[in-house]
Amino acid sequence: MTAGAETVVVELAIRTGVVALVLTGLLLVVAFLARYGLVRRRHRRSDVEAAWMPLLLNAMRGEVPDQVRTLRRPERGAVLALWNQLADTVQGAGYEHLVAFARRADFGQAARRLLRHRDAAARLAAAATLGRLQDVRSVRSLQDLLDHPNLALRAQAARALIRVDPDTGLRTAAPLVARWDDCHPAAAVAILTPAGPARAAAAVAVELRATDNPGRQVRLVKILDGLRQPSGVDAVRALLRSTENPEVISACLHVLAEYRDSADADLVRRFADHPAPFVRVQVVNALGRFRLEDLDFFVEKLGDRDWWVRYRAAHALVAMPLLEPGYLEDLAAHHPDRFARDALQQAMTEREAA
Amino acid sequence: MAGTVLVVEDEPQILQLLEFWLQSEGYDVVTASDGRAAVEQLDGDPTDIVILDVMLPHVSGIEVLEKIRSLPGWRDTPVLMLTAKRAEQDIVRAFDAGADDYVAKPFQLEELVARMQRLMRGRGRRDEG
Repeated sequence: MTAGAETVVVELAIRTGVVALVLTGLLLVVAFLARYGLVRRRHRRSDVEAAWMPLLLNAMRGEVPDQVRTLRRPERGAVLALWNQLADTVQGAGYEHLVAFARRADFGQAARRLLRHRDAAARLAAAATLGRLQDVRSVRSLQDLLDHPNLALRAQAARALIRVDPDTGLRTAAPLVARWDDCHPAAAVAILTPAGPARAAAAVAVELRATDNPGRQVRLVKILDGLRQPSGVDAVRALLRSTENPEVISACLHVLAEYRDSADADLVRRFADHPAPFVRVQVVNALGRFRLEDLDFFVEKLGDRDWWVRYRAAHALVAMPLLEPGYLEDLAAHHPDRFARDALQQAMTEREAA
Repeated sequence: MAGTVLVVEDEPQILQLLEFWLQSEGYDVVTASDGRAAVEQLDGDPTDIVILDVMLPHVSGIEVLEKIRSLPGWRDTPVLMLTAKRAEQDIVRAFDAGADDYVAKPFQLEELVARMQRLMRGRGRRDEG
């Protein structure tokens, strides 16, 4: 290598080193500023909470000062989040006092403004507040959030609309939660429940009757399962009588198992020999929960070709209260099917250990 | 004073709410913000009642309850559990572990106090018996 080339290489190395140093320095400054900003935001938030918490706590006892100041802009997010957290925790008079205080301090106006904030957490607090205050003026803005890509925001907006007006809100929200595949059925139940479980179940049942999409049917059945209302179970029974889709049948049987009405036993038994093992598991599970003395059925299912069916049947037998002493032991020793004997012995051991 | 109460709750705002409410009802309140801090409180004198959240960081509410039931000084202290709504399994586990009663969130503050008073009266009757 010539002297000139060596000089170029050294110069390049020095320049690279300088650039790396500058970049590292910049990165450190950015990290410091981010950390400083976070700490400052936390301090500001805790200062705001310290200022408003005594007011809110006193308000819950019905003690509201004559003059309540409105929220300043930097306070909005923190105070509305705090107010919602307290409102989530209590009900009855304490809750009513909190709502009365928020109306007096015009939290509605603050929330309507915060609903346009770029921070999702602030918008969540705003939507929850507007729902609790039954703020009719914000319906349009809340409806605009229903197709937001952020599920939490969509869900909060739907819940808020139901709180503002249960009937109209349900008519809007029920078809949406049926379609929102990213929303877990339990979360859908939480969205709809502010309307009252019976009203919510009726709205979901309407959606269930209106769709023939198996995926959506399963989803709606699971939501009805969470709502646990008689009108919902009726819709599930009707679907079970008409569907041939194994996933839908399984979901319906699960609901009937949870509902534990022995009058459903004949309907459930129709699927006892279904080709899909997960359907037969649900049949055995449901009939086991009905607590019928259906001895022959469970003994037969003890010899099913699927392990889960044998296992569930064994547990149903072990849970039967009125069997003759020694019957299970005899069955576990002399059943002609080796797998049936294994399943029963396992269930008996698990029962003893429990 | 209505009595002493140990409140174990990890959400600072809810802990503050319970402390404020119970103090205004005349209780002397001791607080712990997680399961570990609650277990440390058990080294001190027993309170008249414990309010215990089921979901706690580090050591769960159920584990704290089991610890309470294993300590001679605290064994008979009534424990009222705070649970989430529809948390049936938590409730069953809490009763299995020796809880005396539970209140599901959201709860009525007046009901919480009424349940505490009932438990404390029951304990008083047992002590007299």
